[in-house]
Amino acid sequence: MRLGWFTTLSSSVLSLILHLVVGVLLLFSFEFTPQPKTQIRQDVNVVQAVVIDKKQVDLELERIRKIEEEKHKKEKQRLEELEKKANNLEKKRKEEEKKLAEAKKKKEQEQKKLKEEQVRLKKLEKEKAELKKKRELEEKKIKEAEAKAEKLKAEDKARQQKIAEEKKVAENNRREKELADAMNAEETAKQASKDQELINRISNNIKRSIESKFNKVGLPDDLECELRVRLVPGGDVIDVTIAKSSGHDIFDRRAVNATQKASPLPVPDDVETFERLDLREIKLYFKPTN
Amino acid sequence: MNTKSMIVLIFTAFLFACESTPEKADDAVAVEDQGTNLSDATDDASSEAQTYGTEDDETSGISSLDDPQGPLSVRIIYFEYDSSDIQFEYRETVEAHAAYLVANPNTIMTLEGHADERGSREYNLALGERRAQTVKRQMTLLGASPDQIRTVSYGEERPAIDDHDDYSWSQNRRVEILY
Amino acid sequence: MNIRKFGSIVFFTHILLGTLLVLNNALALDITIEQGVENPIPVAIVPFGWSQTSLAPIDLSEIVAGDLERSARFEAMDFKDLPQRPAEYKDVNFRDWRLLGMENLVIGQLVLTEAGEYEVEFRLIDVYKEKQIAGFRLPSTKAQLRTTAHEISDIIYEKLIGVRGAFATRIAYITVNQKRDGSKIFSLQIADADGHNPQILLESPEPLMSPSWSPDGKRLAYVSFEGKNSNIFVQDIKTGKRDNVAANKGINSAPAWSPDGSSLAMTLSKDGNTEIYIMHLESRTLRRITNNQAIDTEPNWSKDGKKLAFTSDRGGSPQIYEVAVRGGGKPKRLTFNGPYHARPRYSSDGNSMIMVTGQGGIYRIAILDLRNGFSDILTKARLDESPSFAPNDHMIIYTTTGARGTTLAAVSADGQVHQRLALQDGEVREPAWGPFLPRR
Repeated sequence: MRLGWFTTLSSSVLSLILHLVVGVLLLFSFEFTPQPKTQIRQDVNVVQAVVIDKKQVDLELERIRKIEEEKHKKEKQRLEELEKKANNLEKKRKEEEKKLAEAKKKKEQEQKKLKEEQVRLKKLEKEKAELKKKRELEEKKIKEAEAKAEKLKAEDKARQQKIAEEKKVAENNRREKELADAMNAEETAKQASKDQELINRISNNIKRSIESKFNKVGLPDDLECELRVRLVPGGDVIDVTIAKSSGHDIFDRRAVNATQKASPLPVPDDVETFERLDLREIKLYFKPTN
Repeated sequence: MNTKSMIVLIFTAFLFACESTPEKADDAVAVEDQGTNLSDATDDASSEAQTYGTEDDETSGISSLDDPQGPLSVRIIYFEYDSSDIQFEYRETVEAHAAYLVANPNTIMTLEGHADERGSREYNLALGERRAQTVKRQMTLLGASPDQIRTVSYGEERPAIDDHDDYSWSQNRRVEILY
Repeated sequence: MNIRKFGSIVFFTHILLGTLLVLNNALALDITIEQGVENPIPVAIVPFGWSQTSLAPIDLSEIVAGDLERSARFEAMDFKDLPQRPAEYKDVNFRDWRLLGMENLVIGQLVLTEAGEYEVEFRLIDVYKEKQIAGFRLPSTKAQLRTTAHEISDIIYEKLIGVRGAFATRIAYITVNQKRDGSKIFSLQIADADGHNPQILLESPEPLMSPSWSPDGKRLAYVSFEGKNSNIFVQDIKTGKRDNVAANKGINSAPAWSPDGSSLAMTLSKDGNTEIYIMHLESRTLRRITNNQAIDTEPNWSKDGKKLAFTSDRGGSPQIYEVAVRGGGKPKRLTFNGPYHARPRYSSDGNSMIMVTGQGGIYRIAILDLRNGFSDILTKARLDESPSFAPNDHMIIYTTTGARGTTLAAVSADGQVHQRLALQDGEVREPAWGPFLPRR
């Protein structure tokens, strides 16, 4: 339940509240019984406020959605035509690829010839190998006799080792269990570290996709700026603001354009993760090195 | 007559020996020393008015300027790349023209310096000028009056052969002797 | 009480911890963009509208697109790929352009006023921001329409690159044509930077050399052999009136304007050796700058007017030296890598210098970074000469000589973009890129 309404609210303020609540719950539930009550009352207040808001929002959303849907239908056809145009541009590129494919075919034919030659060579090798096998068989017989003796020796050793290992495994299991128990207690912490990993990956992906659009041509060195970018689930950029200008209009504009052109940014599709990771607003520092 | 031409010959041989080494300030001093020798020689020559006259007759007898086989028929001196040193093979040519100017003090000659097209145009203009100046100095040291010799440089602007290869370039690095 | 206190401490600590966690979260999505690409900037130039029903007198958009593409910093969209052709801002459908990844849009129209004059109106639009970056209305005349188009290119270049474009400028150059009888005809010409509108300023059967622009772009100094010797002339471009400013015995050559336009540096050999002098044009007084047995020539003025760079072989081979104009002080040698460096030209920003560098019989254009002494070779042919900076320092025009004779070529100052320019038939020599025209 709690999670349900949490997800409908955004911004880091809420995340702060969440932390407070969870933290307080965790800590105080052991030591102070009266404290949580006041907390809960606060929560209830917030819930109510949200419910009222939500009704209005829902109505408004419904209205907007209807208008949007109508618009969308009309636009869709025209957009498709545009996409066709974009596809035509694509086509040109594809023709280039076709040429490349033909060159590839030629190469493949050459490789075929090469393969045939290789097959012939393989046959020769096979014959060689058979001879080798015969010799090896004889050697094997001798070796087997030797091996038997050693096997007996080894088996003895292995038995002892097995016992030792079993001991070790038992101990390991015990330790792991202890660890797992400890981890269980810190499930949330674990989730957090998992999220950190995910965030690193997302961060890298966004970085790469924007860098591939950031055009430095003709720009002077040693400039930097900071952008604030608002995203919606799915990664569409809905707003870019210049938080700190480089003092060079063109540099700033190229940074903004790169961000817009990279939209939608590569973020997780599912809303829950998006919200949990607080991806609605991100900061970008443009600090190109030469 | 023979003595005079001998002096000139020995003197020029000395000059060319000097010329094969790059120009230095020392050279200028050496040239100046030779200049006093030269004035001695011309003094001798002017005192022997007769000899002078005969030689003059003789040159006109050869009709040197028009003789296609004579040394004066050579009217172009070629140079090495980025160099204004006169090659030894042109000793005879320079001597002959200098002697002609000495024998015909009213004759005026123009030395036209040229360069090949490689390198910058203005530098080549200066290089053509230096080539012409070098030839002029040789001739004045051999007795010709500086007033008899005009120099002009065309740099790489007037090539003898309008092409872009080694042979053309070798033909374009030159000083033309014009009467 | 005690317990309460403890509780509040724990509570407070947790607030801190929570804040830290939130901060930590925020930090995770602070992304630093460290790399970028160096691609031509996409720009769509919509064919300009025209107020009359007749055929428009000029295709402005085509000239602008040509300018921008030639700079190699832009990629103009093919006219046939344009998704729409709005002539006015209100007609622009931003979503369409965004869908095609188009960042910048140029629209405009040509209007014939009732007075019979022309007016060009254009807007440069940021498609993603849905905002106008620049909008201008430029009065023009029929004869000036091309120049107006170049001015539009200049503005677009400046707004999107950050440096003034050099499209509405001119170049001067020497051409040589062979007549039927084999004799040559030399001419001094000027043309727009894109090679259009060539005009002959002087024709001569004798060689012409070394055109040099006055800083105001109104006069040219040059060398003519019409008097059977090199002489320096200064000619007014508009009136054709000219002065023979140097006609001494020996070389009179390599004129170079001082940035304030008052003086010419030049090479004279009137005193027996080629030396560099400065002539004050009004008084015609001469001041000797070099004094050396070697060749000293090809002076070029630094843009602050304080120094002259020149070529000298005082060290045994031609190299570039620099000397203070005010005199006093030994010339400082600038080039060391290689046996041949000549014909220096300073950049406008004073940071670099271009020249001819020669080695093993191959001559190319090099750029020397005056801040750190590093040099780069910019061109690739065997006989490249006469480099000249565009007034914004972005491009360098020069000549390249091969089997086809001498033609014009251009290279970007970073050496990335190479172009061949086909101006006209015959040989083209010694291009000199003119200064910016005054802004209007």
